[in-house]
Amino acid sequence: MVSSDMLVDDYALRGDSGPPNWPWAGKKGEQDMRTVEFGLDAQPASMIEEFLSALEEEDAVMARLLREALEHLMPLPPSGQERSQKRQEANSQVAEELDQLALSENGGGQP
Amino acid sequence: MTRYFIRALAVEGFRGINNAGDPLRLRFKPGAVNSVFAPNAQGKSSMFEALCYAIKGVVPKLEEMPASDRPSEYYANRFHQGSPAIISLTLEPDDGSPQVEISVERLVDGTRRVVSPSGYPDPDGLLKSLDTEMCLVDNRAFLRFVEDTPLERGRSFSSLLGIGELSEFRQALETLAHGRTVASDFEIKSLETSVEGQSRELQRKEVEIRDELRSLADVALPEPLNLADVNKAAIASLKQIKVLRDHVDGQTLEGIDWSQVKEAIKTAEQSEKQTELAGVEQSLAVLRGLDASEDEAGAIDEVVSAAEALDDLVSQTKGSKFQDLYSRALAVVTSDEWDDEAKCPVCDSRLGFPLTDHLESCLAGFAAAQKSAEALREKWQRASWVDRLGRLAASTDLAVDKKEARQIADIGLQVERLEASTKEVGEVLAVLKKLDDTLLNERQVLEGKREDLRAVLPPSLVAVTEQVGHAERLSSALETYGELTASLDADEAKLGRRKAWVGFIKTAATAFQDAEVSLSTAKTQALESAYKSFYSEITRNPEIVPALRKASGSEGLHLVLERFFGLEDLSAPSLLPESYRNALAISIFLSAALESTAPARFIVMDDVTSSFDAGHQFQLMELIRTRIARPGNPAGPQVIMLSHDGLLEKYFDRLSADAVWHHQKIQGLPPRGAVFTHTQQADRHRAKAEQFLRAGQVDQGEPLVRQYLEFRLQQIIRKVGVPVPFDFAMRDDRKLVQGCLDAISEGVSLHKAAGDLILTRGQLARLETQHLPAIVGNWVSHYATGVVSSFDPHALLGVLDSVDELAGCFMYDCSCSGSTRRRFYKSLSAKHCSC
Repeated sequence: MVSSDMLVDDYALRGDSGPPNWPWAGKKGEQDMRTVEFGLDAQPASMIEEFLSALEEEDAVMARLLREALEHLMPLPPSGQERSQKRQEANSQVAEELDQLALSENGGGQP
Repeated sequence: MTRYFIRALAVEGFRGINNAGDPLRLRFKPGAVNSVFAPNAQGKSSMFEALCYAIKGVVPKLEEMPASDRPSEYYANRFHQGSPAIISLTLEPDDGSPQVEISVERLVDGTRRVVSPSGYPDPDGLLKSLDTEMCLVDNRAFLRFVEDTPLERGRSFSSLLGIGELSEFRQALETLAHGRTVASDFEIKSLETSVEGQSRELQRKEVEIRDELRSLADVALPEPLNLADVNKAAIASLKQIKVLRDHVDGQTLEGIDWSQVKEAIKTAEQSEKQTELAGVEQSLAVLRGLDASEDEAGAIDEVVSAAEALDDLVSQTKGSKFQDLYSRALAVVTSDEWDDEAKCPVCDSRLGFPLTDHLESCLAGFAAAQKSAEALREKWQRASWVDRLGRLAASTDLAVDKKEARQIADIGLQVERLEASTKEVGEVLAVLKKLDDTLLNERQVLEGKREDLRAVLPPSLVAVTEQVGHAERLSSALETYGELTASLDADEAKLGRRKAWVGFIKTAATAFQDAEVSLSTAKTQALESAYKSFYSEITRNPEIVPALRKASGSEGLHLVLERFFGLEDLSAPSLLPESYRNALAISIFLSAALESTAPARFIVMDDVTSSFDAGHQFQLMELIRTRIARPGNPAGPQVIMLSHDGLLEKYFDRLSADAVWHHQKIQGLPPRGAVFTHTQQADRHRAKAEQFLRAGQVDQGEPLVRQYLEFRLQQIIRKVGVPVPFDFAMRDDRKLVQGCLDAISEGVSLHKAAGDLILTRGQLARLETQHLPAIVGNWVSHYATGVVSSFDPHALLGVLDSVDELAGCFMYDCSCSGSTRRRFYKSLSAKHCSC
């Protein structure tokens, strides 16, 4: 098995005040770091699904937004211009949903 | 997982193959190496392209053509009019399940239609699953692999390793997480600026609220500000004024009708002067709000210093044209194409020092200036006096010149675009000073007016009017404060969520990237021993040892030479000749093919040896036959080779005498006429000779008898490893019947004398007393006379039988595979097994 440590320096960026259930909530230097593992014999599609599911377990909302953005972006267009356009559309869709979530947290709407 | 071999391919009306009503059919054997030979322009590559279209849905060569050439019009054969092009594939699963027949049609309008005559439920899905980087390879694939940039090579190699999907997913994540674009797409900077501006405004309002409350009720509230306490203190203060009591009792500041309050005062006062005083008070309050803060001078100095620092740095650079020049030059000298760092790319002169350092040093000056301009912009955006200047310019009480207002806005834009200098900052400060002077002047006028009014109004109501003014402004400030707080909370929540996403996507992309790099590195390392061994086997040159190196933390893949005639760690694309480069590329492809578990258990190679040296060609074929393809490697893939090389054709033809090799030849008159397949049977000469002889046509049969004799005798020599004289080995004109017989006889005699001859007594007796004399007597002695009429057809038929029986003297029954089969001895002194 090959693996890679996943961590983030500053999970304060989360923007919520709940308990730190972020997949990479461990601060640098702490023992409890999450890892992504890809088996040498596993199929790529299942590796990707496993990766997304791991994200989902930790933060269902972010993982759902990521899936939506990827659905919009993939298959990746070969030309840089088209890719850039698709990225903007995907990010714009994510931003809209994030704003709805923020609004709902702020007591002003539905998620 | 079920994997598939190709059993048959039939093509009609596609590319160079017309064959209207009679498709060109090729049959392939899963348990043999398959070869197809065709001279150039006989439809061989059209067959390959037909497979590409069936499996990939496109012909890559056509798709790479410019749209102006209308490539879509060249899929169908130009002489095959009015009906669709049809490609029929028969696939054989390797798990013993029934064969799958799939028909791919390209209709006249260019539409692709896929059906399964054998009833497979998802034929198009099955074809798509067969599409891997290595199932259909041609010479271009190898060329690309060697000549690509490390990044492109790394990506195509991922596909080769079967993890192309991971590479694409990784690219998608990186696209979403890309540093500058993600911050820009989510407007992080703009939101941060907005939040900072609102926070400053909120603080200013809080100061205003405290000031007004102090003036109204002489109350100083503790931190943090409690709006309910403000309201309570203000109402309590207003209630103490008799004339106002009825209007404020039981109210909040927000609920008070100020026009009624003013009306009440006016009624009590009965004076127009009172209204005027209220107006003056209001205007003075507005102007007080435009006063400079205590720390404004310091903030101005900061901006001025930042502008001076920027001017200083800009003066040390040579302008944007040079920046562009340096950037492009750096891109050239750090690219793979530029191999001499001390040579100028513009004039090719030798500089005597590395140009990269010089260019990076020059560009560092521009970067410092850019950073300084960004620092100026940041100080500008955060400066409270810039806000105040905006409010001064917008104030209706000061009657500001429109030209000056526009000038302020323009300079603000210049700062935003990083184009401002001390000149623009100085101009803005001059406008600020002028507006401050106007402000001071206006206040003095209003204060004079207020003093005049106070002098003529009753003192008590003057104070009440002032109190009401404070209360009304307090109420307005509270309302604004509430709105600002709500807006700030909303923007902060939005910013928090967006920043969280940016952190999330960046971390996810990094984690996936690391894991993908680790996996592809591990997979690359797993292939190392195989591709090195294959390469060595093809080139037979131990002085050159290639290797694949993954770039640290990226998808890049470098082709290097671990060893090159005693030197180490050099670039393979730069040093290897073409044949060696192709040998390296194919070694890597084949090593990956052996590791593949993809549904396609076949490799179709179209003319991959066209730029190989002859020696390398044969070594490659032997490698494929013995170590890669079935049946030499029972776990390996089915290999199908298409070639137009005449030398290889001889090799294919020779091997097709064995069951482990299946060879076919394409001949015809493409692109208008039909093309047909000719299967090369091992005994085709014998069958043809027999046909002529039985018809009494000795003239036609005799040359074929000779050919068959030579073929069979050389087969014995090759299979059993009979030693031959040097000139026999080197020259085709020495490989005649007599020469072969002599070599076989000498070899047998040698081993007989040594006492280790493997032939049985019966075989030896038949060889010496029957078959050798029969061939010599009935063929060689007559042939030497050159008289055709001396041949009797029955005697020649006997010669054909004799040579077969002679070959049988060098064979034994082998039961190793479970069933008995005749097999040549391994040598004149040994069998292949213990049977």
